[in-house]
Parts: sequence; C-alpha cells; structure tokens
Amino acid sequence: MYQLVYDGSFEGFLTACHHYLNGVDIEEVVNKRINPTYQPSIFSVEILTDLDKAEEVVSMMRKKSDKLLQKVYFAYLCDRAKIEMTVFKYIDMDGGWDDLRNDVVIDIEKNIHNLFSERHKMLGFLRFSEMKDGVMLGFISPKNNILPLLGVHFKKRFGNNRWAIVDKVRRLVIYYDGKRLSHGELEWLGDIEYSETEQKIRESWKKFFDSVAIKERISYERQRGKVPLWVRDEMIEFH
Amino acid sequence: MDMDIVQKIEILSDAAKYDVSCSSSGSKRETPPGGIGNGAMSGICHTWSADGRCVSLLKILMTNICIYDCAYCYNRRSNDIKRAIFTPKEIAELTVEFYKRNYIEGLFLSSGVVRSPDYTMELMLKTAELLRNRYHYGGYLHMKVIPGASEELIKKVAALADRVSANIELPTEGSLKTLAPEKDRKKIDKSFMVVDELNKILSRKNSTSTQLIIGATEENDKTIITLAEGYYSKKLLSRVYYSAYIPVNTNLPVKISEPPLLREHRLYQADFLLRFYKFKSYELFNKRENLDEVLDPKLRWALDNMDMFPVDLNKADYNNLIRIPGIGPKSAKKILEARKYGYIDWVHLKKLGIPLKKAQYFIILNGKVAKKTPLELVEREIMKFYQEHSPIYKLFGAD
Repeated sequence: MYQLVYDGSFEGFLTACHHYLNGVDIEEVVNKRINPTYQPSIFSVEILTDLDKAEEVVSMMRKKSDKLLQKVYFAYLCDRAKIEMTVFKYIDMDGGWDDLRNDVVIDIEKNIHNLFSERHKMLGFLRFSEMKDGVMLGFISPKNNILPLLGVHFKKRFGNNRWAIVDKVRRLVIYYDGKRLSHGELEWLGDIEYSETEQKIRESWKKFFDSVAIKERISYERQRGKVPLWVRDEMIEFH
Repeated sequence: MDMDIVQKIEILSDAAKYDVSCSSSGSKRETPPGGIGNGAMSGICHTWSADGRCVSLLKILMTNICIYDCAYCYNRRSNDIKRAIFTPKEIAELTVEFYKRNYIEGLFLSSGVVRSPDYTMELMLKTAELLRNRYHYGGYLHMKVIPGASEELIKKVAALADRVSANIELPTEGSLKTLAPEKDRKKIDKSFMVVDELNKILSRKNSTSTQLIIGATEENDKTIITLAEGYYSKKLLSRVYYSAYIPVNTNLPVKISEPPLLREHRLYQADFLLRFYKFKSYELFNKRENLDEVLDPKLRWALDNMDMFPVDLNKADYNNLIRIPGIGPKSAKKILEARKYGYIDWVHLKKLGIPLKKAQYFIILNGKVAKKTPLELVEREIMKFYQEHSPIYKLFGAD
C-alpha cells in the first residue's frame, strides 16, 4: 500500500498511472505541486517523471478510444478533487467511457463539468492590469488547474496585444507575446510597474460598478452566491 | 462645462441602470486584424453588482438629457437631476480600456433624446463607428435604437451592432399614450421592422430585444405574455425583458409602494416556457388572467393537465421530458444520453444528478411511481411561498 507522490505535471501523472497499470498497490496519489508541504510517511514514494512510461500510457489510451486522452487530461486538471485513482480505473476500463450509469464515469464527468464551469467563470472574473511596457498582466488562484484552458480564449480575443496570466497557487504562467503562446513555471516575479493610465481606469470601473446597482434591489446575499468572497481577491471593484 | 470622466460615469451609468438587459451571448466574430475583441457564443458575466445582477456590459447612456417627459422615467425633462453628456470618443476609449482589462464583454449604449431622435442617433452612430473603424474593436456592441430616427441612421447603427433594441416601455398603446404621450408604439414597431429588413439583407439572425415596465399600469399577465408571444412568432424580437417598475417618480396614476419583483420573476419563467419549452401562451393561463403567484407556471400547467402524467422516463421524447416540472433541457438531455445504454431506473436518476424534488410526482419508471399525487408538493410549495413572502417572515428573515 503505497502513497505515490508525483510532481504535478501531466507526464508525472501518467507515470503514476503506469505504475498502477503494472500492479503497484497504490493507496493514495499525492500531487506535490498543490501540496508542497505534504508530510511523507514510510509508505510514501516520490516517483520520477518518466517520459517513456507516460508515452506508453498515451499510446495505449489512443488505441482504446480517440476521446480518452482528452478526457483524462481534463480529469488530471481537476487536481484538488483527489480523483487520481478513479482516473486510473477509468483508463483501465475497456469501453463504456460514456456510460453515465457507471460510478467511475459519473465521478469523472462531474469533476470535468466542475473544471469547465470554473474556467467559464474565470473568463469573466479574471482582471488584467496594464504594465508600463504595455503587457497586460492578470493573476488567478483557482481551485482547479484551469490555466492551460484559458490561453486560447484570450489569444483569440486580444489580437496582437501582449498579455500574461499567473496562477499564484501552482506558480504556473502563460504568456502571449503577440504571436505565440508559451507555458511555463513561474520562477520569480519582479516589481510590478503599472502604466500611467491604470489608476484612472480602475477608478472609473469602480465608479461604474458602484453606481450600476439598483438601490431598491440590493441583495448582498445574492451577490455572494454569484461572486463568492474567495474569488474577489483580484477583482478590483471589490476593494 | 468640462466634467471629469469619473463624474460622467457616475451620472450616466446611474441613469442607465434601469435597463435590465445584460445578455452578451450569441454573436460570433473574429478579432479584427490589428484590433481587439471578439464575440463569445455563450455569454460571460464579469462581475455581479450589489443588487445581484450580472454585469457583462458597460451599460451607459450617451446622455441623460431628454426632450421627453415620460411619467415612469427618472430622466424625464421635468425631473431636477444632474445632467451630463459623453463625447463619442470618451465612450469609445472607455470601452476599449475596460475591455482589454477584461472588465467587460462589451458596450451597451443607450441614451436620452437630446435635441431630436436623429441628432441623438447620430451621436451614437459616431461612437459605434469610432469603435469599429478607428479602434478596430470587435467586442460586443448593443445599441439602443431611438424610435423616430431616420431609417438610414437606424440601419447604419444596426449594421455595426451585435444587437439593437428599442423599448416598448408599456404593454399597450393606451398606457403609452397616458404615460408617455410623446412616444408612439408605431414608431417603435417600425424600428423593429427596419432592423429586421436589414438583417434579412445581411442574412443575419435577428437578435433584437425590447423591454417593458411591469406594474406601472394595469395590464394583466396574459396581455403581457401574449404580446411577447406575438413578437416572437413574427420573429421581430428574440427577447423581451420585463422590468418591475421602481417608483422613481411620485405622480403615477397607479400607486405602488414597491417593485412587483415576484410578478416580474413569474413573467420571466413564462417567457422561458414560450421560448425554450415550446409552450403556447394559452396553455399557461387556462382561463386565468394572471400567472399563479404561488406556483411557478410550469408546475401550474402540470396541475392543470394531470391526465398527461405520469410520464415514462424510458419512453418520453425530449419535448415531453422538458414539460415535466423540475426537469429542464439539461436533465432531459442527460436522460436521453443515459438511455442509450439501456433502461434507466430510480438509482440512475440520483447518480445523474437529476433533481427529483418536483419531478418525482410526475414520472413513472419501469412501472413504478414514487408518489401517487402531487398534493404533498403543492402543500410544500405553498408553505414555502408564505414563509418567504409573509410580512412577519420578512421582518425576521430579510438579509
């Protein structure tokens, strides 16, 4: 009964899956990226990400079904759900990946649904600030690892403009330089220098936000239901 | 005269907030070369204001100066309020700056009527032209059409916008005559037809919307829903918004102390049943003049038509599934999806996350019903209603 610890990358995840498929008796899988302070026990094994093993699992999935790899990737992004073992079982199945009467399938589908609903909300809640050099910079602290799912939307939307999004929890970053989208790990973040107009625009937005509410209908409860307190950190209209 | 931009925002968004439309969905446009902004097929809410409404658009007035004196309107000329006017450039810049910070999905530009409908429409057109042609802005653009403006101007505005709207304001021509004598339903309808004509030429789907005020005049729900149904079936409008009247002025012939929010809610439910559930307005009223206050319109309809229940979830088609109280398009699709693998049973419904609170009284599965009559449900709904709406409960339960 081992506790497998992987680095949080998709390749690491697939390496862990490789161990599972080869009969390693796993009790729990731990994602180090979102649990940097986990306490290893005598049953903990920190596995090394092995690209060959990962590749092997990928080609096996491809043989089984065209859609399996994508589903598994999305399920991997639900990194707080602790569904690694379920995903491994899902990969091990021989069909019926759409059968909504199966508990494994339901668990996976629910979490993916959750992932995309968080992504959709973040498409609205994300706030960019204009840096002195013209780059638009935004921060997020999402529950699921939605950062890889945000790039395409903003790339399409913002044309040739340069922008970056930082996941503060996982210390991941995506950057668009006007031509290409790149993903990476955040090593360090220098002092942030805002553009000259940034303050004025924020002030304008806050004024708009405050005056657009109809006083006779105020319901902070309803507002909290839609914008929970924990997502408000980066939303300047709440500060 | 030179007013700070933040001050203008305060005055002109405060004056625009009574327009309830906030949808930004349904348009698909690529980001223009060298520009910014596209249309997203599914709407995106960027924040929620303190009244719990989705904010997705910079909803603002060109000006709150108005030559009309409509009895229900905060901006009518006889009200002694602060007035302001934006320049087209100010609005265009604000839109782009907000947009690139991801504050908004786009602009909703409305206006009081300054000087004349044509003059106002021209100012708004200039704003749209600046956005689309100078800033290469490809984001969402909703423009109010000023009824009475020239056909040519209306068409130019509509061609640049994702959606246009013009407010019917009140459910009948008679009410409009009494409360807004300077407005004319025929001119409003005419503007819908002009836009419709343009959309046909451009082979665009019609997405025109309108808004009307509930509770400032005495029309019943049936009149209102039948009116909406008429516009939907002629395909002149894609959406009607209902706005519970907030007594901003004190001289209305109809005395109301607070906005009829529950009535507004029921009208929206009925409107959804028309648009997404293929109900006809007469089915919802069944000789009544108004929608049931206590029970939602779909449940009310089901109780009126108990001979159509229970519905067999393993046999019913989509259109029959969505008529079951508590089951909407999402649940119906899940059921159809799960049925591909064989018969479904009660335990599958739980797993699929189909809410059974209401539905269990109206369905049959493999020969078994969960509840024989919906009496218990009706009782519960009535209790719930009185708990939420009785004055005593309000005293202690308000937030």
